[in-house]
Amino acid sequence: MFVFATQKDIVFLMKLFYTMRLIHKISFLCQYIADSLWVFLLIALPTCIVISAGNAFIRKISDLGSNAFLEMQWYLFSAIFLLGAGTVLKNDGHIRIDIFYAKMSPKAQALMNIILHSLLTAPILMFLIYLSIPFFLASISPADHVPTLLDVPTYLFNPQFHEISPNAGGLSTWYAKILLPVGFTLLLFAVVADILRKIIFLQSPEIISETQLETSL
Amino acid sequence: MTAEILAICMFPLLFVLFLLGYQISFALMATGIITGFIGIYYDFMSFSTFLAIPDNLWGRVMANDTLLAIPFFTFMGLILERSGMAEDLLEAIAKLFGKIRGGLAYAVIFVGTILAATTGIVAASVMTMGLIALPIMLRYGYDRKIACGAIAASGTLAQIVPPSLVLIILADQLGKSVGDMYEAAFIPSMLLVVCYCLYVFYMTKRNPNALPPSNESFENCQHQDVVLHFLPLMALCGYGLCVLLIPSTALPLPFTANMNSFISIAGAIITVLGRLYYLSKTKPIVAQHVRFLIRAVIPPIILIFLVLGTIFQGIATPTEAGAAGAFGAVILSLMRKKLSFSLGKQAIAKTINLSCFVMFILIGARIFTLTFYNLDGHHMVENLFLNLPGGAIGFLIIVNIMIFFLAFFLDFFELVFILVPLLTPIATTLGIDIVWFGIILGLNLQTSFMHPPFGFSLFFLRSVAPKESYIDTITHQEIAPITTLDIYKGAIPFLCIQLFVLTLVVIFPELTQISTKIQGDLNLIMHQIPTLPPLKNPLTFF
Repeated sequence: MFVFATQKDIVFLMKLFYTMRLIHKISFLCQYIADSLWVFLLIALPTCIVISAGNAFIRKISDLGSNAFLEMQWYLFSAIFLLGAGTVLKNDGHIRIDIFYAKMSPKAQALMNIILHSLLTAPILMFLIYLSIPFFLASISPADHVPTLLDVPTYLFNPQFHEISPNAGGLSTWYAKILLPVGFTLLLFAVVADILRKIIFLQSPEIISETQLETSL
Repeated sequence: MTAEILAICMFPLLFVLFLLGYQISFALMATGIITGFIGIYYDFMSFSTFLAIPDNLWGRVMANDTLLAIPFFTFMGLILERSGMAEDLLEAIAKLFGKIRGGLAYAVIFVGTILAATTGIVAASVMTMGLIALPIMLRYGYDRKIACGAIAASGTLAQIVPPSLVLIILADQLGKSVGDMYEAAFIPSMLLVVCYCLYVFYMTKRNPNALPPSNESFENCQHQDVVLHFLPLMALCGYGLCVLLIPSTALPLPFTANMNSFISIAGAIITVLGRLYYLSKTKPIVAQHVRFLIRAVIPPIILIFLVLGTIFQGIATPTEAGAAGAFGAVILSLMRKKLSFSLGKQAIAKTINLSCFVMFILIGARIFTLTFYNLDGHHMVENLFLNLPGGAIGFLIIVNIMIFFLAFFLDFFELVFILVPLLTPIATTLGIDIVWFGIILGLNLQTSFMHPPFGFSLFFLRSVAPKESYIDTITHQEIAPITTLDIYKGAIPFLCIQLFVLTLVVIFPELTQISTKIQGDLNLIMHQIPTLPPLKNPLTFF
C-alpha cells in the first residue's frame, strides 16, 4: 500500500526543514562566538605555568621580582576559567548530580536542559552581565563620571583614568575586570546554542544527531 | 514569613535543582538570585546586595593565589598519566616486592603514596594502577576484592597526602595557609598508609592463599643480587629526600639546607654512577636491571623535590610549587618521548575543563552565600550548632556524620564551597583548632571517593577493570572478569580503615600538630612556608 504525501504535508515538511536549518545555523554561530577565544586559552595555560614557576625561580636566585608577573598569573587563570566556560558547557563539562538525570531518556534530558536553561540560566547570566558591566566601566573611567558602553573605546585608549592595582608596579585592573562581562556573555551565547541544539535534537533526533551537529558546517 | 525561613528554603530549592540534573554551578547561582529577589520583594534585603556580586567575585574568586594551584596540579597529573612514569615505577616496585606474600598489594600502596606525593589527582593513579597492577594480581590469583580495594584506596591517598587539591581548596575556604595544612596532614596520611599495609599484612596471615607471592622478578639473575645493589642507592636517595623535606631549621646539622641537599644529592649521584660502572664491568645483567630500577625511581623523586621540597624548604609557595611540578612533568615526559603535541593539547583542554567547572561552582557558591548571609541564615545555622549537646566534640561528631552522608551524592567541591564557610565560624567559636578541623574534613571527604555506589575512585577502577573474561598473555589461562560487586565489597574494609584513622585524628588532635611541635621544641622558627615577600625593587612592565 502506498502512502501519498499531500502537498500540505510537503509544504509543512519544507517549512520545518528550513526552520531547523535556520536554528542550526544560529546555534552554530552562537557556539562559534562562545568558542572564539578557546585557542587563546590553550596558549594561556602553559604561559601561566611558566610565569608562575619562573616567579619562584627568579625570586630564589635574585632579589628581583615583579608584581606585574604575580598578578599576571591570576589574570591569566581568570581568563582561563571565565572565557572557557562556554566551550566547557558545549562538552557538558559542568558537572551535575546524575542520580536521576542519568536514568532519563535522552529526550527527557534534552527537555530538562531546554527548560532549565531558558528559564534560569539565560536570565541569570543576563543579570550577571548587567551587574558586571558597570563594574568594568568603573575601572577605566574617572570616579565622578558614569560612563555608558559607548564611551568604552574613548576610555580604553586613554590610560590616565585607568584604575591600577594597589600593589607597586601592578597591572591595570581592567585587563581582568573586563573578563567578567565578556566571560558571562560568551557563556550566554553557549547556553543559547545549547538550547537551540537541544530543540533540533528533540525535533528530529534520528536525522540530526548531536555529534553530526558539531562536525557539520 | 521571616528572613530565616526564606534562608532555610534555599536548601530544599537547591536540592530539587540538583536532583533535576541541573548543572551544580548554575543551580547555586539560580538559588542565590531567585531567593535574593524574593527577599528584596519582602524587604529582607536590599538590591545593593546584588551590586556587590562583581566585587565579591573579583576579590574572592579571581584574585585568589591559592586556587590558582588547581590547574597546575591537574595539568601535572594529566601529564604524569601520559608520561609512563607511573607504569615504570609500578613495574619496578612490583619486581622488588614480588617475592613477598602480598608483595603486589604493598607495591600498589607504595606506588599510590609516591604518586600522591607528586600530584593531587585520584583519577591518574587509580587508572594507571588498575590498568597495570590489576592484571598482574589476577594472574597470580589474588583475591579480587582485596586487589580492587587496595588499588582504589591507594588512589584516594592523593586526596590527603600533600600536595592534594582537597587540602588546597580547604585551606582557601578555612582561611589558613596551605603550608600549615600540608604539615598537619603529613602524620595522618602516613598513618593511613601504615594502616593499609597492616591490613594487607593481616590478610596474608589470615588467608595466605588470597595474596600469593608472584613470579615477577628480574630475568637471568638472582633477585637478591639486584636488591642488594639497589638498596644502598635507595637509602642515599631516601636520605636526600628526608633532608629536602624536613625544614632546614628543624635539623641539628652543621650545614644549611642547601648545603645538605647539595651534598646528599651529589653523593648519591656519584655513588650511583660509580656502582653502576663497577657493576657493568662485573655483572652486566644485574647492572641492566639496576639501571632500569633507577630510571623508574628517579623521576618521581625529582618531582617530589620540585613540589614538596620547594614548599617545605620555603623556596616557593604551594601555587608556584604546582607550576614547577607541572613544568618538571612536561620536561620529564618530553625526555621519555611520550609527549606529543596533540596529547599536550588534550591535557590542556582537560585542565581548562576541570578548572572551569570548579571555579564556576565557586562563583555559584559565592552568589548563594551572599544571599544566605544577607538573609541572616548564618546566624540561624550558628545557633543551631552552638546549641548542640556535647560542645566541641558533639559538633565534630555531628558534622562528620553529616558530611559522610552528604558525600554519598555530593562532590567534595560542592561540600567544601557550600558547607565549610558556614561551619568555620562555629568551629572558631567553639575553640576548635581550624587546621585540625580542616584535616578532619579532608579525611572525611577522602572517604567520599570510596563510598560504594558513587565513589569516584571506584568509578575510575570500574572503567579500566576487565568487564569480560580474557586469556592471560603469560599463563594462557582464562581469567574471569571483575564484577562491580567485587569492587564495592573490596572498598568496604579500606573505607573502615579510613574511618578508623579519622576517629584517631578526632580523638588525638596532637597527630596534626606533631611536625609543628618538633620545630617548637627545637625552639626554632615555626613557619617555613613563605607568603609572597614584599618586593625590594619593583619593576614595572606595564
